[in-house]
Amino acid sequence: MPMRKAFRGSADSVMSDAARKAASAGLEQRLGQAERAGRDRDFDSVSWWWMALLGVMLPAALIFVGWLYQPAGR
Amino acid sequence: MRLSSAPEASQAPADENVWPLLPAERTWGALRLGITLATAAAATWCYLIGESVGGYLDFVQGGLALTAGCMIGMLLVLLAGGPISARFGIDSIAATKPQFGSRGWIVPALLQSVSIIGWNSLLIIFFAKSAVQLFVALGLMRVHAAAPQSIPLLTLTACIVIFLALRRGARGVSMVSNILVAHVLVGLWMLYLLISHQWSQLLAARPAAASADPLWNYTTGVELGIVTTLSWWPYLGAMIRMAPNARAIVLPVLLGMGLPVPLLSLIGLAGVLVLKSSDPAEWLRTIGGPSYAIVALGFVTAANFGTAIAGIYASTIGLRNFAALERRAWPTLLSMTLAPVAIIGMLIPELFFAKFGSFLALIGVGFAPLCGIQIADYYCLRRGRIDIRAIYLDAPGTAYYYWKGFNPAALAALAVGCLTYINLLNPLTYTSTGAYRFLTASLPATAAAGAVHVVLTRLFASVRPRARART
Repeated sequence: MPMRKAFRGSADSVMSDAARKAASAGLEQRLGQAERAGRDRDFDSVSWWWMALLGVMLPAALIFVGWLYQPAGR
Repeated sequence: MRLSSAPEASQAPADENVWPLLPAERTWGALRLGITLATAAAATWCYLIGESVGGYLDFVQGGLALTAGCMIGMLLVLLAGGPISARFGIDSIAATKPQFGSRGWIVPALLQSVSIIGWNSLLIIFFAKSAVQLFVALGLMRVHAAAPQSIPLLTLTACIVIFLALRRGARGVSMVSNILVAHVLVGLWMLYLLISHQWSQLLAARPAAASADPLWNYTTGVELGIVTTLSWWPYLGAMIRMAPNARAIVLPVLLGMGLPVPLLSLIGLAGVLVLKSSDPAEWLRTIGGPSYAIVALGFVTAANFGTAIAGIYASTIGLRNFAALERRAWPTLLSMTLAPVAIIGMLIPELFFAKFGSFLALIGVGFAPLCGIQIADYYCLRRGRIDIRAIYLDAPGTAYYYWKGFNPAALAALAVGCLTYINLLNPLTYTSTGAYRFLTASLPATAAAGAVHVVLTRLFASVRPRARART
């Protein structure tokens, strides 16, 4: 038995089949659109470049500069 | 086998349930997303983070190490939850089903709920304390009246205002963020004031609790930055699903959420180094008198409020993943998320303040391995192929059912990642071992969890993600 059904318990019994079918159709429509649209919505090369710059190169440079920094009096 | 669904959920606005958002519903551009994320990121914890770093490092080294750590942590969070949430318009918890299983998502959901509700309880109590100080400073409340009974009342008021704002769902978050984003600018002005008035003292100031090992101090500055932004994992999915695609989230996340935290943490860092206090109201009074202190208190009050709104929204969306709550009305779910915060703030604010911070620090250990598992799963095992339909199915034979709905590989990897972290660095006492001073604790924990997830998944066919990926 699907876990969701088990979680719902007795409340399930008050829902009409028609209402459930309508809801399933709504989700089905959304999944269909998400499936089609999701194919070309991942990071592109420009995104990867920004991630490399801001998430790798910038931190590496900051760590390097910070480690070289010698405060006065040290 | 059937798709999970509920009539009431289908009638609710899309941004108030966990179904994938349609392209037409994902209307947040880069600026709007960046503003919302910046407002969510900036809160009282910035001073606390700055204060922690100021114990080990001077202003320049502390600022650089913290900024570097925050950007590294933000990148990990972006790589972990970003692609699935942004491609399909789903929240952080739904995005964990491919890794943890159609029932195993309960583990990250618990992490999210405890973390967000715990932190937001702290923030709301902070908010109430700041508001009391603000009212006293403005002459609206007498000092003796600012007794403990004011904090429960203000906590309750804050919860009611958050409830009213979030009745509009994601639109409420965006609307409040558009107003409260001004506090980020006020924070930068405060930083300018502190630097311009105290620059020479800042350069000369030395950390009070620095270890004799400079490398350990420096690594700890970086680690504090990483772990800070890793804790944004629970918040991110609910926000980035409103953006049209993954390409649109990169700069808002890295610059809008990753950068304001270290910048505003410099306020706490500078304050604790020069004036031995990270409380901006205290040191702004020193610099500019009572009027500056009032501005600072207004800033702190607004900052916590914006973060709490984003957190409560993300946590409420996360609750929708529970089938029993899937068809509850949005106001009911909001009340369920806000109730623990209100009860804690009204009944045990001081006790919670004193004791729960340590527990939250321990919970935060889980986010590094969680990111490692998601990154390894998406990029190494699935190579970007996600079966969005299977995320909403829960029955034997479906792609993410694994073993009774749980993926043992991900659960074992999470445990190994947490143990790796705690072995390298105790998050409560900050005692460390082994390679911590060279590697930090978060990065090895992320790598260990990701590696274990990949190895176990490849070793045992029973937990191998099915090849029915559709997109």
